[in-house]
Amino acid sequence: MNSPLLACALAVATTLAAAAPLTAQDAAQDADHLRLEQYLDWEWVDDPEISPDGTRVVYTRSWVDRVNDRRESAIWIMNADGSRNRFLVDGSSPRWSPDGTRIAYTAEGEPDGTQIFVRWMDAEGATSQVTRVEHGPSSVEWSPDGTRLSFSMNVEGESPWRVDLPDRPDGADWTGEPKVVNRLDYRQDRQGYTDDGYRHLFVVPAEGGTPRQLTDGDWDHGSGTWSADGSELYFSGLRVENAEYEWRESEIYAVEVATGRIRQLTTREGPDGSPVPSPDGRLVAYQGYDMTDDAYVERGLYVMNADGTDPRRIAGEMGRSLGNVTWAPDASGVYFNASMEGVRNVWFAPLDGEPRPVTEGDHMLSFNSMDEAGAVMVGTRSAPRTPEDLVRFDTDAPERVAQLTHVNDDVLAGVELGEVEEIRYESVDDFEIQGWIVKPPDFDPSREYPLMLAIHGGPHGMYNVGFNFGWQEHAANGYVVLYTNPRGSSGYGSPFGNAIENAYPGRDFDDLMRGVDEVLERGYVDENNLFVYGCSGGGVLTSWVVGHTDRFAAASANCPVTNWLSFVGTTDSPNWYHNFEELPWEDPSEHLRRSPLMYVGNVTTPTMLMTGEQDLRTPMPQTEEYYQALKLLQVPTVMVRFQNQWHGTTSRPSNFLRTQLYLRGWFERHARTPAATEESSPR
Amino acid sequence: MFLAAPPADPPLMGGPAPRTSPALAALFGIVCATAAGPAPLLGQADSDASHLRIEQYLDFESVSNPQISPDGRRIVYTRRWVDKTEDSRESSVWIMEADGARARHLLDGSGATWSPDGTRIAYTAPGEPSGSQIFVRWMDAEGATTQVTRLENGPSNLTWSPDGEWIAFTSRVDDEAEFAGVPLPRPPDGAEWTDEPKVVERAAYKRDRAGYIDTGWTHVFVVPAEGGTPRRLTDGDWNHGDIAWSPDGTEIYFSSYREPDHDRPEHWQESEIYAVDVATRAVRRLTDRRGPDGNPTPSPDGRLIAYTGTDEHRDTYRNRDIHLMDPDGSNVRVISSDYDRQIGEMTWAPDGSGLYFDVRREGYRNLHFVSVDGGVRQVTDGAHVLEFSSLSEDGTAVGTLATAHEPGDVYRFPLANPAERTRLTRVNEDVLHGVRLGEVEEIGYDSDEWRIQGWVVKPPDFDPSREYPLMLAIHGGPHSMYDGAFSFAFQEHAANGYVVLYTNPRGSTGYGTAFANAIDHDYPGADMPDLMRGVDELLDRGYVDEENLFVYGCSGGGILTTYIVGNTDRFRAASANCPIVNWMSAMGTSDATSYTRTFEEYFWDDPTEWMDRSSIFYVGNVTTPTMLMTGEQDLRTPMGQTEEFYQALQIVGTPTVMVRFKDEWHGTTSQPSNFLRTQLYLRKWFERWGTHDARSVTQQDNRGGKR
Repeated sequence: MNSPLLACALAVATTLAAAAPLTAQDAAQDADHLRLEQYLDWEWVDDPEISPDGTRVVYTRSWVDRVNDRRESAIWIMNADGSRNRFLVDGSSPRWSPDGTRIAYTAEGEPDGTQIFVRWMDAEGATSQVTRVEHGPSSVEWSPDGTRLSFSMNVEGESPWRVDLPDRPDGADWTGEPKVVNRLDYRQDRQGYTDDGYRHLFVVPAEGGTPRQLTDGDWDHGSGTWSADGSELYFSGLRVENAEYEWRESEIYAVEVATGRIRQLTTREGPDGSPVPSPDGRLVAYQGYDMTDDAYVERGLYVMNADGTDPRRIAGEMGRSLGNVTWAPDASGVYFNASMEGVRNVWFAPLDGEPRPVTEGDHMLSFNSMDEAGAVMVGTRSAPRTPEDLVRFDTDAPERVAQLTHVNDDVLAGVELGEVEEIRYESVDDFEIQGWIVKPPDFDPSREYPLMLAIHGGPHGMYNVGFNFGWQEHAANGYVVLYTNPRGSSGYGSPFGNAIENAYPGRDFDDLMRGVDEVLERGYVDENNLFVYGCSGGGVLTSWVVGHTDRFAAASANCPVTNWLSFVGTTDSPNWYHNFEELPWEDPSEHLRRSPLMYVGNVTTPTMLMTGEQDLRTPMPQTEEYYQALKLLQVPTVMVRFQNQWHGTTSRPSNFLRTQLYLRGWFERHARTPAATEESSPR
Repeated sequence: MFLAAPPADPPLMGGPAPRTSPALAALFGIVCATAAGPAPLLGQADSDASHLRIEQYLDFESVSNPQISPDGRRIVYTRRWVDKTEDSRESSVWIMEADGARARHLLDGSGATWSPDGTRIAYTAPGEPSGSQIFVRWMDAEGATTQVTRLENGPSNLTWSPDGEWIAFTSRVDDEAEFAGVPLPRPPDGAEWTDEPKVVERAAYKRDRAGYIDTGWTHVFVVPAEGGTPRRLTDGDWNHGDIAWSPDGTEIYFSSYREPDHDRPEHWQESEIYAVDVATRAVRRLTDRRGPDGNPTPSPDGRLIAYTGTDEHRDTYRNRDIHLMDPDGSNVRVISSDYDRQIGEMTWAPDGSGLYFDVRREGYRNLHFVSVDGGVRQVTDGAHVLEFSSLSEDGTAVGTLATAHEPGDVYRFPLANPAERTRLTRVNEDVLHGVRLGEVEEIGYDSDEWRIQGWVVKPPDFDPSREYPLMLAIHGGPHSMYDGAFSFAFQEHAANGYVVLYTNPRGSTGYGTAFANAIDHDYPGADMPDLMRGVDELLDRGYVDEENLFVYGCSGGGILTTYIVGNTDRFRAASANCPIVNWMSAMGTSDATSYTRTFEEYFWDDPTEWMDRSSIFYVGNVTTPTMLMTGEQDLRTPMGQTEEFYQALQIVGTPTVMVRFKDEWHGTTSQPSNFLRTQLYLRKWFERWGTHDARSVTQQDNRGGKR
């Protein structure tokens, strides 16, 4: 299947948020720096959907439930100019019906679990639960005529391999049956076991009724998109024998809604997916690439005829994958979001000619939806000192971006944020590396600050200019924070991303160290108090860094991979075997060479490890292996095992707080000249 | 033994066979850890009932730890059974007259021990406010019972002071990781925030069947036997264990390693013997050599202390010697000379002439005696597993005894005439009534320069002219010993038409240090020929179907099973249970970290030996369908090891299935229903790939069984 290798596993503190202009006034020293507890007041907005007539916007608004330690969300609605912003209903993923009379959304329903609801968007606001299914439906899509809804849902497979036990007494409470596993790919981080069935496509009347299963077989099917005439659903999958063994392979199919008959549209070797039919029904846009062994390849944007003929590429090398590919109403081309070189903007790819940017700027701007006429887009935008909020703009005047919400203005009133500066520098092999520096508020260039180097995961991920609470809060505590996109990062073209093939970690280390050198040359960083941390791919590199240099006063390798030999068989995807030239039992030399654990004998840097107990991506044993080796070698270390955490350490609000505090706790404990941090800390 | 004390023997990979050595103390034993006492075989004609049926496992009982009163008149013992509703093993303390008469329930609890004057017993049981507490029961007609502690952490090693006034015990004193805790913002009232992370700072922080062991340190306490406040005698960041009172009651001997750098890796074997003054809490150290010293056992007159130990070494296995020293630590000498077998718990002869102790050797277990003047002699004799547990003032010994066809029951015998054994219980006679067991035959064969001992269990109604499918069972450890005691698991496989072979390949204990250490830097590896020769030996006998050979084992046996399928294709199917397949990843993830000290180099300095000995590097050769069964909570051979092999077999394209057991630490049989599942999944996998007719044997001869 086409699972990109390390699907941007996570980047510590990915939780951005929407902020406000900085009215730095308010002399009260206590209140003018960002405080950690303000994280609990943070709000997030996402997924704005504009009504077909362009008059209203529904969106998802999230906040922290401080009692139950989780993020809650609800559907809100406002006028398209941002006025009359108000709560609509509890639920998520609202979608307007094509005629704009209703929205479909998912929410908790009867008898239990997630169900599909349809709400009339008139004054009465009547709401109907239209499914009563057992396994949460997702990817709900309206048919073009508004009479039906398609969705994806898991269908349980045959019952597992069991033995017949002797009879037990009435009321007996015996140990549960063992979990029996016989698939190649059987689990997924944040989900757990995924081998209890396969995902299939369904349709259900929009007025409620019995869902009808359209696909069958022991295969997973991607989410469906309706053909313009409503006769078919396009989807991606791989309906071949032993599909689970086909690495990076997937095809686009169409299933006839009336008959369930399936036709295959693509055939090339390599992944094809994300089909989007054109409004006139003649073409299908999709993404993919020709089969390659490269560790990293950016997907191309293609179109083909609706019968699968004449596939042609209309855009490529525009980041790892393109977001929200949407046809222009006249079918002249498609709009999409592209993340490149640390920023995100909206682009348009015509059927003929080169892709061109629609929006421009140093921000993370993406559109989520467009009105029927193709005149207005709504989306989200975040910038270095501006948390994410909802925005709108006209497609013929995209330079005029109107901000529709200001959900964190209240939190940030009177808060002085740290300045964020972009840097670019030369590294080995003539690569230019992009990065950013967050400086403490009240930054004084004549002082020397402790430095945190933050390393992203992936490894094919991209740090960007979006607002980051975690770094701002570190900066508010007196740290300079440096984050860069070393080779291997996405968004800089396939050769840059693939530069770490069979060499990860490797010279990405040099790119990171040059970034530290670059900041040191500016004179405001204390060379004796350099710190480094990262989670996932950033944890890999952190454990690699401490095995290759002693320049850091302390490190925190979070959710790391430290031993590729054991990792390939214990992570949640079997695809990692392909990241090496040979299978480990045929030749382990590459696995050994690339494993941070093989360099642990060099480590003198005090190194903390923080990992979630439920992590299935970089499972706890990877952390334990490194911890135990550090203990044997008597290098100062501590292992912090987070509760209720899959991959990463920040998905629970309180765990986000703990991650920030343990990190600084460790760095301050091992600071070589502790005075610097304490002096600049507001505490 | 060292369970609560600090650096112990390399904890090794899970025990194996029934009743393993103290060092491996019941870490588990895959098959038949819970054998129980059966009955004579009244092989009768009723064919429906004549074979052992798996559901009978739920009716099995076992007896253990019989303690005879000082005056020799009464015996308290532990009786264990299966709670079929709660899927658990329950136990309580029973009592009987010394001749076995009037066996009856005494109380719910465990670890009963007589006061020196025989007027009371002390035991542990759940108490107020919660958890395990110490109780004292007067053994008169009134039977008054007093809870004498109110501890937060459960007591262990209850030991009466010689005058019966005090009870010494060990218990954990809580201690937190120094780095734990950050100044979080204050949650709202009633908030339910995610729990604090577990912060780990120690090198040794977890143990199978216990979980985290870094939550405190084990210390020595005394409490008045009439109840009162426990007084802690030791302090510091060390564990203390192996407690024993001096006969004058002024001191308590214990083992520990009370040094600031106790957890440095090079001290992984270290322990020393100390004495703490009960009145002043002054601690003095008695031993000082490099190497483990433990089990201090003062003589009745207080003039000698016996203990076991050995010089520091880097062997994978070495037997310890019995030493004597004076109470001031001087005049150390070895009295077991070159006996070279694993020494069990020691008990002084009342006249101080020497010590009695059990030895597990050459497949059986018997009582031995070592004289203070040196020299070991065997006291009991026989092809049985005799577990000695106490001695009365008049020289009557009690213990449990099992043979190949008889599960364990309580026995007594006079030390003066040990052949005069009296059987006092028959707890499984009812279950086995009318059941025809399979014959168990001891075998011996040569492999290289070694003589290997093993056993064959044959199906009931065995017909030597037929050819039976064979199961080769491999024990764990690797330093442990299969013995000739009754095994429900093997018998139940045999009742389903299998010949079961189990042997003690080199590396096993009971045959001397050289034999056990023959796998030094060669495990798995050196032992594989011994296992294969055993299979050849049976094939030569003509009653085994060469096309239907199966192999399985858990822990060390799982390691060998994965190694075997990587090095031969002679088996039709295999089940590698709770294995280690990659020593490099096991080193940091198993609780038996010290075992990896037996490799020449750290693998980051040179991984060669680690790869040679790791089955994952042979997985490309595997064509044998191989099942994996492991407990979800296993901390000894953690699930990651199983996953590594499973995923590799999937990539290689070899048939496999991973069966992940619920509520199981190391092993797959600690819950009664999981024992049943282990038996059944094993045969289900073998029957899926085999061409044998086992199922028909099963059904034809076992019609009475519920299926």
